Amino acid sequence: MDKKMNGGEENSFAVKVGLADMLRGGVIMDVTNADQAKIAEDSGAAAVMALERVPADIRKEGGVARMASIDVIREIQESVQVPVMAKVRIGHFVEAQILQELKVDFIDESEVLTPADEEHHVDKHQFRVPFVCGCRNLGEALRRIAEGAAMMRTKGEAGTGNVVEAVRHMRQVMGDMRRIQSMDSAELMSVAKNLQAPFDLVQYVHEHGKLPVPNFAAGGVATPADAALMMQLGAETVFVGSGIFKAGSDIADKAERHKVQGRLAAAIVRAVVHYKDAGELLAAQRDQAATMAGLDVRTMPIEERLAERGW
Amino acid sequence: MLVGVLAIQGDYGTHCNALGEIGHECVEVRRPEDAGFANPKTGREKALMQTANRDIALRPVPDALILPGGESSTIDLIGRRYGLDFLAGAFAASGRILWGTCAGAIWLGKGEHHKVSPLGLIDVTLSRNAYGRQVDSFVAPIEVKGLDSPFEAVFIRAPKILECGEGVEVLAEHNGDPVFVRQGNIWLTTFHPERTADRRLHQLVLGD
Repeated sequence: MDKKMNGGEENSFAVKVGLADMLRGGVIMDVTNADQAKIAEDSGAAAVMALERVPADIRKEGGVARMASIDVIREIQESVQVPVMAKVRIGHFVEAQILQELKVDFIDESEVLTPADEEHHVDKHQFRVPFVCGCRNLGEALRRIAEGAAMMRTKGEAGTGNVVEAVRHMRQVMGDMRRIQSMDSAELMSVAKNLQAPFDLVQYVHEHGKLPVPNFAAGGVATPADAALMMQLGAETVFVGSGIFKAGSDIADKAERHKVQGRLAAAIVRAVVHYKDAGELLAAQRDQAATMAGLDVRTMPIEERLAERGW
Repeated sequence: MLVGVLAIQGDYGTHCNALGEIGHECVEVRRPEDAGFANPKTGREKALMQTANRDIALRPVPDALILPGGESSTIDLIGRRYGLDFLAGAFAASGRILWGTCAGAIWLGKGEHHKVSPLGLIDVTLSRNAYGRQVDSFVAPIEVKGLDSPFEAVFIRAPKILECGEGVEVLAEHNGDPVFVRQGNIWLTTFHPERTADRRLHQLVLGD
């Protein structure tokens, strides 16, 4: 890949991780149009993810899911001042080149879209724009970081409104890190071998007990309580995908629907800021007027599970 | 020194680590009570109840308050809801050190912004996201008054200082724009001094 074309050498990793760190403790919300983007910003979102369809709809409608149309992303960029993220298919570095040219603030190389490459992810060091990637375990997280991801998130199971997979992935990552931190240094090479992860990153985890980039939660977060659960498990903030704008989708009146969704969005922001304060969590949970319907991940055939995409 | 760091959202954790490295104690501030102030936005009775419940009466008032970078619209919205605008005002009036970095600087200063109503505690006008989007973020060495060698300044979706009133001292510039200023006990940086391992700026502002 052409590093000069992609501008990777002009921007240091520190600047990329810098923006990821600025988003800590702030909720990142999936939006599909300017109205939703404004509701998200008014509710206190720290960033928005510009999409053509939320994961719940991608799941329902099937077909090949690609990066959002330029018009949708541009409309959202023009309507808010918080950072705007957008998704590319796993391995689709040309979609990434286009989004960087469009000046999106963060690119999500996402399993929610149909993968373009089943062997290789994007070489993210080549780009000036920072990337976030999903993971199910520590090995996967460290491989993505070695490729240049400036932020990690759990994969969870997007579009289900079911937090169980995000919990599984976060517990796996946090548990592996605690285990490695307490190990003897002579044991680290064998860990690197078993995790299929770069040795220097395993060493970093051993020394610091954390990832070298922020570790966020995503995939199935639908309520203020879900969001605070992920924070208490060790997430530094949460992505909320279908959870907000699929809630109350049966309300016909647009203004009323937006009001309900805005209240839920604000309640999730409140729960994330005060994630350790049970009084605030009670108030946040009471504030939500609607929740999206959920799917049981256990009854879902493996080929419908988005988290299985990528390695 | 006990230093409060506004912990609504953003880079407060990195500031706390930086403070620890130079021997200061850090307290995360999510409500005025965390910094030893009663919350003016809850009724007297409610405040007393909260005080009783949360041992807040015993919390000390920090010697300095840092407002970190993050998203200024989020900080403004949540900050005002929890009375942290009042807390910043009280710190400004009390003569204690008040330091805004990036989004924190936007909130303490003046200016017309999308979804942010700044507090206007210092006579400095800023413009949000003035350099552009994330691909326009950058690192640059700057000369700082009071430091004998350049400081690596990390600018992330940074604001620009458009205007400084009388009595505002400019301590550093980048390409002719002020990026580090002071008026009395209030300090602003448009960049992120917590992002590198160099702690000289924290030491300078805290008077170490």
